[in-house]
Amino acid sequence: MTTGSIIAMVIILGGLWGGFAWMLRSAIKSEERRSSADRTG
Amino acid sequence: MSEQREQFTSRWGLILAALGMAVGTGNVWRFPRIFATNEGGAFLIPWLFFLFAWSIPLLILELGMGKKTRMGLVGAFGKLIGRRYSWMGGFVAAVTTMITFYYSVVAGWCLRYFFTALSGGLARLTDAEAAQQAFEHFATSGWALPFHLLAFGLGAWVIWRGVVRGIELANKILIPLLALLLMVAAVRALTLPGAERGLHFMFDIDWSRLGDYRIWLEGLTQSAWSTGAGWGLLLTYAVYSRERSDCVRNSLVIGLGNNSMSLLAALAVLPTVFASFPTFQEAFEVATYSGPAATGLTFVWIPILFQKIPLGSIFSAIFFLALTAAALSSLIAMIELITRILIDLGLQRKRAIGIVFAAGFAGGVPSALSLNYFNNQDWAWGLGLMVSGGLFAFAAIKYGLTRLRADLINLPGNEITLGPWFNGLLGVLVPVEFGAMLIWWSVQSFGWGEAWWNPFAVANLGTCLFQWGLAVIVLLALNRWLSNRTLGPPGTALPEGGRL
Repeated sequence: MTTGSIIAMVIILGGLWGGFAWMLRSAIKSEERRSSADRTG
Repeated sequence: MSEQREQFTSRWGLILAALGMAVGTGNVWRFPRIFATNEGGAFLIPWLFFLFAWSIPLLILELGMGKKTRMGLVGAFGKLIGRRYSWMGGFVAAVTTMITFYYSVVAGWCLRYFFTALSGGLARLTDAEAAQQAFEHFATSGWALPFHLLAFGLGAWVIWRGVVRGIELANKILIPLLALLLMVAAVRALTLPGAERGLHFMFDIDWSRLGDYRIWLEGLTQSAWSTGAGWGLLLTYAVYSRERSDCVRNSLVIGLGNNSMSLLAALAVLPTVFASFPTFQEAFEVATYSGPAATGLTFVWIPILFQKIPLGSIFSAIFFLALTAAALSSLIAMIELITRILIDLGLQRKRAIGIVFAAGFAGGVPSALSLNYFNNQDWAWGLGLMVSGGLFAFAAIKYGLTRLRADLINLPGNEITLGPWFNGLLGVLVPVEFGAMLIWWSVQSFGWGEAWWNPFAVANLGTCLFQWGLAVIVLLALNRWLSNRTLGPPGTALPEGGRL
């Protein structure tokens, strides 16, 4: 593989999976905050 | 009519169900082939661009519409932009319903190949000719019928169990299972000798390819196909979302998750193809081979290729189980979409499911018996999805884009606020993309050899116009009845949340 294709692979795979994981993590965190707020009334 | 509407128990429930809706055969079956046909690498640029310029804006709109109106497609369009436009929701529903009929047949094919892989039967398929003959015999001899029945029956059974114990639970199992199976298959593919040739093909970007308009249009159609944007499926799931669910972040999770799964599927398929052939040209021809009903790579070559690698029978079963899980999770969303509309029309849930099951099986029979009919439906209603996306954009413009952001999206619970730039995205860019794509597909169909106007041809402009026209005429004739049944007689004060 050329350096260019390795860089493209890292950027595209990392960007997609990283973006997905980041969004999912922040969705879970906000869910936790909301549940905690609901419990405390 | 006093049936209580269920809700997803958590944001996870909605996200997993929506991921299940989005991740389907379009990711595992269609994406690797379209990716290869467009000569790898460069295709990723338009495919990613349209994720943000088409799919995610439409997903946000669908989530907002479903949450706001708490009704299926017909009621949602009527309630949002006026009773005279209920037929537009009906058209979107008709497109997805017609796709559901043959999609269940595809889910049946996946089930059959999974069972055959499990029993070791795929080992008999030693060359492409034998594999293609076996597929065509299965797909046209009536053997596809019981598997279509089984697939639709499984989907209807999940819907029968309800939103929480059915849809939510099924997707909590199917989506992690699908991700795990694809990861196992991808790791296996990437550790094959010669797999790096596949990676090189996938990620070596030839920038000059971006000057070809077709790669952009293929990127757009693939994104629309695989994310489910504009199908009305996410709108339907949003009916059961919690009041404070976050439209923007959820749409980003769904869009990014869907594309991540597509790439994972391509990592499982393309390195396997390139590792199996000594020359680039041979591998390229296999990766782009369409075959009958575009089944070539998945149902003809994959069974052969997996036999060539160590523990191939096991990985073949894993691949077809993943494909089945992806197909079923999307089929469930489609069945719920039709069921929800029947509930809005006044039917009780279980009766509606019974009708959908009977109609769904009957509607899929011609596609289960004839690949020509299957191809015709795939062509006409697959292209109809672009019209569906255009109708969603029309609804947003008609309602008012600034008002839409305020009333449907930037609400309490939404942690990412959309600014005026979103008006340009949904009100200008999406309609321009829709127009360009529709014109391109139409022009392309002139060159297909058959008379473009013939309504009974397998794939041309005439058959699309004929079938869409028929749907529009019927829906326009029924518009008053549809809106009265879903929204009550004119002048009725609509309760927040619609009929149920």
